[in-house]
Amino acid sequence: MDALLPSASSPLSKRPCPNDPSSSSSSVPRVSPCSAASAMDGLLECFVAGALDPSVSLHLSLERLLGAAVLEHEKEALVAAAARAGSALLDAAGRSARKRASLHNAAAWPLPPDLTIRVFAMLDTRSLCHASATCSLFNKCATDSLCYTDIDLTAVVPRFTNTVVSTMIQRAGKNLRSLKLGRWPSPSSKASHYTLCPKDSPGLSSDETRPSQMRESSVLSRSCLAALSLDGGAAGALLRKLYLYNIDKMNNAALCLALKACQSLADLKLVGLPVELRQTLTAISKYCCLIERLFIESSDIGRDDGLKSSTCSDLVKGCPNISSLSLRGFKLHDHKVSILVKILNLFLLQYRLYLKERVLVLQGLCNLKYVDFSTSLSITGTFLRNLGSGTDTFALEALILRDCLHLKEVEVSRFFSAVLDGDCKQLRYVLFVPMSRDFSYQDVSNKDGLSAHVDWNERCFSLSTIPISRLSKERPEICLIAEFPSEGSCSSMDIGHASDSETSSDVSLPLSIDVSLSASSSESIYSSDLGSGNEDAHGANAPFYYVDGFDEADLPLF
Amino acid sequence: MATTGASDGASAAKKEGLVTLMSGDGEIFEVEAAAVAALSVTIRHAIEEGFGDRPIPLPIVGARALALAVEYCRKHHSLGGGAGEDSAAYDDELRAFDHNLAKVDRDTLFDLIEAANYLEIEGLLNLMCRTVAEMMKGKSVEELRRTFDVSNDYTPEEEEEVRREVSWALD
Repeated sequence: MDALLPSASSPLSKRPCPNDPSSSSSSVPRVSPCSAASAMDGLLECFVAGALDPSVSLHLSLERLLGAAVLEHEKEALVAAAARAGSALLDAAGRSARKRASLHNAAAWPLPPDLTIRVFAMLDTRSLCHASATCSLFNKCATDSLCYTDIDLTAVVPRFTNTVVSTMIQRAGKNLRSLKLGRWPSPSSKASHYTLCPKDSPGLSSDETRPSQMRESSVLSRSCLAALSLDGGAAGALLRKLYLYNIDKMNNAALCLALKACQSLADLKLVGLPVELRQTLTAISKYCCLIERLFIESSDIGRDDGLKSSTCSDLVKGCPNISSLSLRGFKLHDHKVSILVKILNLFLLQYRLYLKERVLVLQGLCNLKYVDFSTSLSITGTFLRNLGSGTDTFALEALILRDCLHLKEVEVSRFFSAVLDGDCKQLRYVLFVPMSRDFSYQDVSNKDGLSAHVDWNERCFSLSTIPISRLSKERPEICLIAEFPSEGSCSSMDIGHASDSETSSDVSLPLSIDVSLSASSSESIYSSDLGSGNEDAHGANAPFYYVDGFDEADLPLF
Repeated sequence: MATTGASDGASAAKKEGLVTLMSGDGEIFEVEAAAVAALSVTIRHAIEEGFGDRPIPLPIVGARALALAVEYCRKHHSLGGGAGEDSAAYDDELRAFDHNLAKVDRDTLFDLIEAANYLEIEGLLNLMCRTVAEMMKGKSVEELRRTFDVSNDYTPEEEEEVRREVSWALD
């Protein structure tokens, strides 16, 4: 049907009875009395057939008419009328073509709007946009609120603006459940995140490359989340999941305002936002009391040390449901981490006897199953002391301390002894990837990627210091990953990567653990094994943690 | 499609535990009442309302889609007890069955969606909608038009506006 358009757009009106060219142009769309309409139909049929005849030239025919006209203004009027008639015909043809296309679409896509919306609701945001540009039928369905329950506006090079985000949030309205927004680090910068850096450069620098790469500012500004607060926070009210990545122009006030609107938030992930940890945590403990998973990665590794102990205890009190806590790249001191992780138990013991309601609230804090304080440069490990001792309810299952520059061997050693003595009964997974070669104070920052198997470096440990074999015998359910730079790898990243230990990319590991734990935070896997004893749960648990790079074959190596 | 249609085969002697379904194009299906009632809300209600010994008319469901829907109900009833995808009973065999069922041509796919919607078979409706969604994912505007045989019916102004709105997603 598109074929109509070019032919109709070729020259202008022509031969058939040119008595009244101006009236013919204006009367095309008009519904006129029967006789006039059928006369017009005949005229048009005749004209269209004639215009396609290769032996006639519309141009010559118009020239002849012009030659016949005497007065100059007559000629002008004739040319103008011909142009109008032509464009009216083009217009009519275009409209007919669109109408036919719409009819055709309705036949080709037989689903009624409610079912179309159901299909579209399963699309990712980008595909939904493609669909909406396809035809008007799709476009209409693609504006439905149900299509926007899960908005995913993330890209390596984001081109969406605040307007796009706001429109989508407003379309979603109270159906909004999940919002992901921002700029992904490019794959190349991602890969460089945890790789080695030369021996002589300080540990910070390797990680600093990541946020600073791809610095070209994203088009999102700090008000990109403003739509969450519109209409009394209708869109934010039932939002469960909010992930924000590398929005360079975000600030504390804007983020806090957005969090204020998100009172049902269960899953929050903030990566590389230029906001203060203290203010963010304060806002979270104030507004997001239902939060279960909290993941914050600093935009500026090792710089933000403004966290106050009181903020930590506010978070602990305000958000009792947290089961997964990751604070990466902040300067956390052990006593603050203790508050976040351990105070839960102390509170529990103290209040158990006194306040019944309080116990209920505080028992909720013992939901913490997963902690990750990677790249927390100031952690020495003292918070590990008495971690989970004395309480059977301590639920910690995974402990990730990766690239913690100052982690001390003696603390880790003590921790494992305590684990052997029966602490942390639920612990299943431990990941240490110390940056320092001697696993103490030395500032030799490097390591050889993440190994799929356990690689205890003899240089650092004798088996008497860290009772690995006992641990693996007595608590076989624990998956322990401890990665140390192997000899010679200190100065070269290639050696580290070439070593047979490396199969999985090191970035993929925390991600995959993340995924597995988030999948289980729906309680399905967890609740089933929480009740059961440690030993017998092993079989069921094992594949659960050995995601991706973890081959079972690799595990007995320690 | 004909709405109903007196079918003489309908009065056949009822066997125990069977229910008769009549597709929009008049075809008769005798199926296990338990299986379809477990999965199709519409049929369950029809049986509860006493349709058990008369054929249940399903005016907008074509015979081909109905046959597939019944097959889906049987399989899911016998293997999974009608449980949803999240349950443990949703095993590999059922997954493979679903996977194969979804390999129908486009028209059947749409028919099945409408049938599942009418029969209120939630699992089948989800499965088929997801299949269509998977066909759409990652396709450009032109590829979508080709795949689903739909054409551009925007006015130039509308098209410009739509394109501006989604320009971030277009490459």
